[in-house]
Amino acid sequence: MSADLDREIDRAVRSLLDAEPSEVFGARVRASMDARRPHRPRMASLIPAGVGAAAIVLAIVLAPWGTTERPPHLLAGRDVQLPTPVADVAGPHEATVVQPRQTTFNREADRKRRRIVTAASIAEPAAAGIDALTAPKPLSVDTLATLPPTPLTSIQPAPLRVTALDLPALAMPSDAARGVDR
Amino acid sequence: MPVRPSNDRVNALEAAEPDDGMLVRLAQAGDARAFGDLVDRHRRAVFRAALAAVGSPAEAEDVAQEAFVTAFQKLDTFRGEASFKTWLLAITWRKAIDRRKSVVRWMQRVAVSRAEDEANPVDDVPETRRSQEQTLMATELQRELRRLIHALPRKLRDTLLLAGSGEYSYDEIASMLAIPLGTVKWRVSEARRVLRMKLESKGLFDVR
Repeated sequence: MSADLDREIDRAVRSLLDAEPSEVFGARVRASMDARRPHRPRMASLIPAGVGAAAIVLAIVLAPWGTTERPPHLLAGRDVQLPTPVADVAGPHEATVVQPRQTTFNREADRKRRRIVTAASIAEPAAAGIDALTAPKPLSVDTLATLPPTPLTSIQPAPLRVTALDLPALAMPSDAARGVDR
Repeated sequence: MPVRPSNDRVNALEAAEPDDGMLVRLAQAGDARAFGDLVDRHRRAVFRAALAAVGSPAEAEDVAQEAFVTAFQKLDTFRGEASFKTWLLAITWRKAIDRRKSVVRWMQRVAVSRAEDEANPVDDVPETRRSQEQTLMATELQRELRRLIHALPRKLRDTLLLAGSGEYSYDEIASMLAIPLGTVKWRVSEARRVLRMKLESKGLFDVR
């Protein structure tokens, strides 16, 4: 009897699934395949999603509209005009540096930035009429005012070069107290 | 080294019956006809798996179509760790479950299945030499069984329908449902036990 019931259950199951796909099913699938054929070559599938996301974030961060202060290493070696004009000079050793357009994405006007300019910042001091050895560090406002548009190596202050003559002034009190002779 | 579809296609056709693996490789190399052969080969199994989940032939056909198109688009991700049929059925089952989760569609399906159940007593009377009483009892039993199968808990019903269809091995069902093989066997056995018990309680069948 139990076997009979199992047969009845099987019959009921088969009757519930007793249907076939329509005659046009294959044609429908083929039409859908043609419409949604995968792209080849599929390079995108080879790039992990994380790398792609990181690249997008990096592009946004480095894009001109993503920053108000461009990292100095991106400005080194670029042509920068200074000073423009002298009236913009804010302090004794600062000048307004005009940052030129750097990418084709930046549709805004060149932006002005205040930076300390030293002789070491200038790519070719001699051409700009500056004696790198004797010029004050940083450059004075008067010097800046006379400069033509000048290429800079960097708009960051150059590292302080300590000479033997500077050492007494830099000596710490504890050194003097200990009788260190420089 | 890329596979050359034309040569492989010729080689495949020379063979009497190219297996799924060969057709998949051809399809992965861009041979749409090879995938068409796979569609023809598995359309019934895919359709019935979808039907077991969604209950309506029209919806099952939609699900089967979606499953084939998805498989075609993701064919490059198929690594051959399982058989193509198992992989395809797993896609089909996920599509079918997504479809089943739609409340509106579920309501429509219930309405249709009830209408079908009500129409069955007359339609299902077979041309046999059994007595009229036997025929009516058998018809009533089948009608009640279909209703009880519909009323089974979803996990038991899905497994019973897939197993009872005769289209899939227990291993394939286990992969499709992402459950252990032992669980498949238990669910089928449990579904049958529940059906037996309910039929007995209604006096429609005596197992003793």
